[in-house]
Amino acid sequence: MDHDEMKQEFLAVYDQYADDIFRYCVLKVSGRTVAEDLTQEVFMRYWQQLRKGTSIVNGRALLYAMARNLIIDWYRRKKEQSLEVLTEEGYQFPSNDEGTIEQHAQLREVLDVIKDLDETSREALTLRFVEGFSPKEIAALSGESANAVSVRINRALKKVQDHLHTHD
Amino acid sequence: MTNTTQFLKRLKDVRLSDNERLRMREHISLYADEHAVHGDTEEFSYDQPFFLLAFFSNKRFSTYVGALLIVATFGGTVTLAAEGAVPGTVFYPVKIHVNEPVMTALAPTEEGQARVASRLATRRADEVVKLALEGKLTDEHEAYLTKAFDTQIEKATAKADKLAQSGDSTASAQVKEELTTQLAGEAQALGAVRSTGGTQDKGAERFLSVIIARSESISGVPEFFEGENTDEEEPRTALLKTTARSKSASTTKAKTEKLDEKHIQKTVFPKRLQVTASTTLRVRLEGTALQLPKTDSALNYHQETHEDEEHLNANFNELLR
Repeated sequence: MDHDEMKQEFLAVYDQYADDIFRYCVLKVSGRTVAEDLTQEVFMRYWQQLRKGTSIVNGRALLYAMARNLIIDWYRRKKEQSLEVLTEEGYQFPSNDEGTIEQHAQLREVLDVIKDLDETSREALTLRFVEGFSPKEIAALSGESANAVSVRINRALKKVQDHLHTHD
Repeated sequence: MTNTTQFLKRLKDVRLSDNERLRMREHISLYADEHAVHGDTEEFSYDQPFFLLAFFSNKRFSTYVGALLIVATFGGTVTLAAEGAVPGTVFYPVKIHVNEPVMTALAPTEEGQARVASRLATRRADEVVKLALEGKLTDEHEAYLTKAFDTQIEKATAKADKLAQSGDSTASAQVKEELTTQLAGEAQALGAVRSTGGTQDKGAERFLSVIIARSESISGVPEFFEGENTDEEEPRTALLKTTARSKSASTTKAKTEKLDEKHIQKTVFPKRLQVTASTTLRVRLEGTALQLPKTDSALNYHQETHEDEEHLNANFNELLR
């Protein structure tokens, strides 16, 4: 495959997953700018893998794995609790975001609920129900067993349900 | 449960804005161009620890090894003799699949690669001249050489354009100027062949029209065909006056498309010593298979049986002991 073909394939992957990776990052770090930088770095690393001729079986999973590693590195450097900052300061919606005020309020509500979950449960829950990963895929990403991930997701889900019932 | 998952799915609203997405797309697109894919060549950094190890595992290194082994096995005479080979001769595969990939592999920069591609395009044109002079320019040879010429021209211009994009417009202009000058020389030689009135006229004329068309697209104007005077310019200016020039180029294309690719390969590369790009010669180095790249630099003496390949492997093993 020559450069142009490979680049075309790469940009198609970007078009498909840029939002997903950005979301994954922004829920783990403290703001849009950092999340944007991390997302860009993820795709640059992905290009390097393509360029090296690495055989990529599951591009999506690789992107998440790269994002996860970059976030871990970022935490090591920053040593700050991301989502707390995110919820305290408020999620920064893009200036030209088309969402309604109601949508923004609903989103803040979800963020407020999941901030009480521990980091691993929050990640498992969002990957399962927002991104549609299977417990097995999440397990591969986090290095846990699929059973442990399932248990974690169920417990986290129960907490969210309890919160919703309390507030109904 | 459904309500809960619906509730969580609101997080889908967290996304990049259109502007952010587009801006990032541009950045990574630029990044991809700056870190281009070089086919069978891989970069390694001298800053990296164990860079020597990286060098030895580099695919470019295998090209060097391949070339060295050919030289060691058959002597430098073969590769040297191959330099002047034309399609249909025994050493032509060595020229195409050994000598030229080494030239490309040894050009580390964009500029170097642009110059090598220019040189290879000129070599294809030169082969047409030689064949036409000897009266051996068959349709198959013409088709093969036209295609190979076009490939190298495209490569050279693409590399030159990249140089200009990266800010080195001087080098880009130099590469293009050198290429058009070289092509002018070949066009002049072809014009002379054409004027001899031999049987190879048609093929030479068609190829000349291809050279003119490509040169015009490189320089933007047909400058080198519009010489003011001298007899040397005559064949070229005469050709310029031929209104059938572009028609001739399209006739060449139509003609080459009709020819069977396998037939062309058989004619260009003689049966007794056929080199194919799809197969590789595996060299065992201290128990580890060192596989030469599958592309142009792959050398395989594809003969009647695999015995010859085994024999070659045995020779290489002997050399490496």
